Amino acid sequence: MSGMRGQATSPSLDGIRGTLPRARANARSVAALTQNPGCTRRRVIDSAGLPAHDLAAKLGRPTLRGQSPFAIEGGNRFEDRLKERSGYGLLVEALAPYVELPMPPGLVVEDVNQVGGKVGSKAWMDARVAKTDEVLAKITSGDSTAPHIVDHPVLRFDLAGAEVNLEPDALAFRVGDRLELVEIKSYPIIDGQADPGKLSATAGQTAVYHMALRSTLERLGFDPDLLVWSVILVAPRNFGRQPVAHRVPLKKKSLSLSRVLSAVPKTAEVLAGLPADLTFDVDPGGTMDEATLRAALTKAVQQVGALFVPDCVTACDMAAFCRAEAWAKDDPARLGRDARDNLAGVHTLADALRLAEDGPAAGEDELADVAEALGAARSAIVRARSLVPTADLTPVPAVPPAGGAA
Amino acid sequence: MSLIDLLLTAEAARAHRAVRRTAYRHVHLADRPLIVVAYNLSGEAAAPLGIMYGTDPAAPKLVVAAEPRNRECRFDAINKFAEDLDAYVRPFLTLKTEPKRGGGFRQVASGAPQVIVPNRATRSYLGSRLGRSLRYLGLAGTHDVPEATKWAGSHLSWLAEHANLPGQANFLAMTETLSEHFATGQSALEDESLAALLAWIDGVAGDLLAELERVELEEAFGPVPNPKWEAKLEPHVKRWGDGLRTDDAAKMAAAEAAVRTAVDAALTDAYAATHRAVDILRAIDPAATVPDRWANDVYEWGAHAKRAKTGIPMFARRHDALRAAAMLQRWSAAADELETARAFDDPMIMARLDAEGRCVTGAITSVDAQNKEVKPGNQRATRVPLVELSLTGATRLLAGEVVRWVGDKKIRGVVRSVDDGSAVVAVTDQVKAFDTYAWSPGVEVMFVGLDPWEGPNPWGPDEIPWTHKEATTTELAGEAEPGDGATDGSPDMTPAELAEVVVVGTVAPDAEPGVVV
Repeated sequence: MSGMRGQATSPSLDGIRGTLPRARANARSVAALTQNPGCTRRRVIDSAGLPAHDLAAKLGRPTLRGQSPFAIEGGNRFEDRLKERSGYGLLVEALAPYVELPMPPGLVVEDVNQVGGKVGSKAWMDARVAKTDEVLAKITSGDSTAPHIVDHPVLRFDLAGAEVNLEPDALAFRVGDRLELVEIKSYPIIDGQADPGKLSATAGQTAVYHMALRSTLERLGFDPDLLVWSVILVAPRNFGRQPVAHRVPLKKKSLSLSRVLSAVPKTAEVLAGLPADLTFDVDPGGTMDEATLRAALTKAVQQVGALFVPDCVTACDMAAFCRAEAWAKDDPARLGRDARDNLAGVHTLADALRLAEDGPAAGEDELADVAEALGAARSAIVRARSLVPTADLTPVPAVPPAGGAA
Repeated sequence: MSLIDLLLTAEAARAHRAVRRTAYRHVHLADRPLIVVAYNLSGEAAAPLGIMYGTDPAAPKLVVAAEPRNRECRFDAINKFAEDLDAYVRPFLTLKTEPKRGGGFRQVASGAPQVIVPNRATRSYLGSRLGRSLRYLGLAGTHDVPEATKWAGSHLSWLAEHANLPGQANFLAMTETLSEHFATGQSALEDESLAALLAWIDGVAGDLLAELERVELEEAFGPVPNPKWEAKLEPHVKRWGDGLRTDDAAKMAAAEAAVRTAVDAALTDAYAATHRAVDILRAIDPAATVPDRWANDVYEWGAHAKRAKTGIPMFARRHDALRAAAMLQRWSAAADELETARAFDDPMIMARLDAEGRCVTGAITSVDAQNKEVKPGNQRATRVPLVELSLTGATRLLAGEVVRWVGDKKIRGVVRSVDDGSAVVAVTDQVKAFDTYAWSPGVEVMFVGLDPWEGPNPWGPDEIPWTHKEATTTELAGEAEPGDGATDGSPDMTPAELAEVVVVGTVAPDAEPGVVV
């Protein structure tokens, strides 16, 4: 993948990655991109297949996120129970309200993991992609031997000029009917309701699968409308381990995702703005000490602009590094999109305070409106503070800015 | 984010210290609230690893389940907590009789419990998950538990539901309450960490950002523990299961002790921080309407206490549409009332309305206190004083809008005319009260375009509104069975199943269950 050839003056993705190990893009990183499409740094890291959490650790700003071993173990067990342990019987049972499939042994399952080759290798991945295509062809052509369940299909997807492989949990299909996307999650659905944050993340992630599946069907010359505009979410019911399935609509999310992705600049365009000798593999020989490596890598990474917003903390492994950078730059965007929009044209929080206190300086005519609104807000605060004679309403004196990125 | 909040945030960012968002405290704080912090075993809906709670900062109680996926182990911990929660709540279930206005008597609660947790996630965990998991136990052939545990399920369920009422103080999450009172120089998302919030409010000796990063990597105030901490805990949990299978009491005791030490250390920080948050808030003077809102909390608790006289109050899995509509309406009415009450209580909150242009603010230029007009529906002319202001701030209010005087919200008027520099307000209600204040030229006054409804709610839904007739957005909104616990399932695992549990160790941030690597 990523055989991107940039123009002579822009760096190549292979050059940026150098000898660093390749990380696999997944639906979550694609969804993260669509949440913050303006972040060039994230684009470059994803397109070049760089492991962001390794980078962050080398930069001295290790990732803030982590996954619980208990949650991972529980998730694996739940999926295992639905699939291998019960011969897919439990999964078929859970899906019954939405797709009627025969119980084993009448059930035909295609496990796309079983294609031979070294697990995780490129050849293995390619074989899985080929296998998925083959199975989809069988399904769409109405072959009566087509599988009812496709386990871990691999969808190859062009993400604005870079290839990514995606692995949905399963597809379910009944001959003569339509194709259903299935996602298995281990968070509970209590009295028919799941945690809204988790549900929305799942919808975002599965919308990526949905879009990729549609485009795979199109690529193979079939009608993408064979695929239902929703995902069947299979998760533990209430407090136990019994699965329950719910249909989650995806049409809006999937369509808006396609729109966002068609609007993001192509990888080649992103690379065109970067120095030709850019590489994040600053120490191919492994000879640098930690501090030297950190300095060199910081310099390289800062050549690619980032757009830090608060959500980054939950979605991106580079968040701590970019946040420190945003602190050093005093960038209002780090408080959220609201703040950035309200302060259109004001590049630092210190400037916002200055405009509020002193109004626009010479040559800042375009900021007159913002300055007026800020000034009105400031006088409202001053009036209010003067009405309550409590000393600690007024902030303590400023400290010199500290906590720079590097 | 309003411009006021933006400026306060910018001030906080410049000072590296939080800035007060309000001049007063807008929640009631009980003398001895029950502070609760908890860790849940990740991947389970309601399987507590440990719960630390108490009313005394120096003497918390801790219950620990070394393997919460084992039923006995889990309920050993839950039952103890439930018993203590029950003991804390029980005195508030006593009803007293007081004379009703207009004759007769009514029964009211003598007080109400106040449970305080570190963050919103713990509140939802404790109420909607742990409370929900306990409240149907013993019904329809499910495992039975002690009475106190069922009572705790009921009380937690009441608290969970009541927590939706804007302005309530029975079930407080400190991140929420602190961020209502303080602006930090970080985003609202980051303010959900109590440790980070306290670093902003109390200040740190060295580099604030470094401290915030440390806190983010190391501190976890629940209910989700720190994943790196969990990776260290995992072998001990596993050892407990092994001990159970081989009937090795010494092994189980050693594992339990290791889990207890780890949970104790982690939750002690969270417990102390939650008390610290309460102390910070207690140091702020309460706003004028805080006792009214607490009286309403006690009144609503009284309904639960009355139901408790005839047995454990039960809760439906889902409200029927009519009740859901009624509650939604009550919550939105309470949100409006709260906004108004806080604005009149607190100039810092009124300032938001001022900055948004929802006030007319200025110095009095002239007063015609003897102006008389015939009001609609009246025969005789009555006094309608006219106050003319020279505006000191921009306003978006238009002629004809109803306003109230910020100094005394009884005094109601109408904007008679407004232009760029001046406005005239005609005082239509409470002219006698108007006369008791000095309205002399030059004085700064403020009228706000808020007109709270103060009578009984005339719009109570008596039929299902069309908005609630059918859930159409997602099928997730359907499907709920009648309220018994038979279909809840439980996270219990047999010793044989526990033996199969794999120790995973540290997990890469991008790992996903079920994906082969």
